[in-house]
Amino acid sequence: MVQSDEELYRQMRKGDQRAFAELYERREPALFRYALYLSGSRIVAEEVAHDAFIELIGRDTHFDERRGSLEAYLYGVARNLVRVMQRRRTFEQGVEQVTAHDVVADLIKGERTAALYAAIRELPESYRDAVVLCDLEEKSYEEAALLMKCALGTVRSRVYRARMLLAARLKPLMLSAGVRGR
Amino acid sequence: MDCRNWIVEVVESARAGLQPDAQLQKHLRECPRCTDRWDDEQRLSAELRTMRDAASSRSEVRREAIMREFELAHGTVMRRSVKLAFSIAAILLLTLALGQVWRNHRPADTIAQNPGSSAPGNEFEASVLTNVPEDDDFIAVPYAPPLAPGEFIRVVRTQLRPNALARMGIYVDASLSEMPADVVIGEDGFPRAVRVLGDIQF
Repeated sequence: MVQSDEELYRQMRKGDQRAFAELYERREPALFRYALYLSGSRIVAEEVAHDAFIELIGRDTHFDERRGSLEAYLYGVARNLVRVMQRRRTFEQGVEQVTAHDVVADLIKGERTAALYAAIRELPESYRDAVVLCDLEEKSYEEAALLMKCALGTVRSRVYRARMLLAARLKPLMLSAGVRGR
Repeated sequence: MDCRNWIVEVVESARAGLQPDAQLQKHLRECPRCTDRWDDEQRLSAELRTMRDAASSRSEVRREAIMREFELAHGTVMRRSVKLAFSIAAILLLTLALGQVWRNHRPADTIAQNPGSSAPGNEFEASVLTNVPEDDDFIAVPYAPPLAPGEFIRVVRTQLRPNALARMGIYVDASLSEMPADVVIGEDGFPRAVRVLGDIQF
């Protein structure tokens, strides 16, 4: 039987390393990608995913099962960490450096995808969360609504608007490159 | 159905990577605005898929680092438990030590008052002392170190000079020569109590 995140968390708090490893395997990849989509930087994403789990290990963790799922909590922590890094000037510098050789050279390998990262970062936060969770993390509208703590219809409309903004932003680039949808 | 309703179909089909159904295809042929949107959505979905595939990443280094952090955090908890256990053990040992000191002092007092009687917590000496002749005239030697629990004692019958008795705190007529006495001696060889035999005037 598959244990829930919350059960693993309770065991982990008692010092069960196997439970922690399972939780990490289950949630870290998505958390890393989420931070990567928000920040556009692989280095920042690694740091954010790592720090989110450090927060979970720490004595002063603020996770409370009664207030929501562990997954939602981890996404929230990651979102805040990215925000904190954005406030710091280091984030901007990091993105510039990373975009120069890390993302472009090693990960994105394309001007359009780099532009897409930039466009996602520039979306309003609620739209960005919706499109990242639904279109990049492939969550259903229901799952995203739980994670974002809002109504399903709100998530859907945010996804539509986010996609419209992204498409508008990328259109000139795609047309100049001769990319066709069909 | 107007374009606003068709947009839902357009977006959801593009997101799912599906081709438009017959009705939507018919509408797309008739509506350039929706056709444009369909092309945009298709391109965007393709780009998002590329982005998603590129973002997949597993790092053993990251995993090892976080596991070390976990062990460290858990180790700290263990160290706290060990500290607590040591503190409790230290308190217990201190309590036992104080108890022993208290018990060691009590028999000495008891011997001083009544060397032949049993002293609580010091039964061994007491049992030995009870084998001493029953006339119970032992006098504790002042300032002698207390007997340890379980320490053996010997009762030695000997001849003592008055000055030797005086060193044990017993003053007799200095003109007397040696006199017979029973001396209770601890394992360390120090006298703890003395009983002068015979008819002596103190």
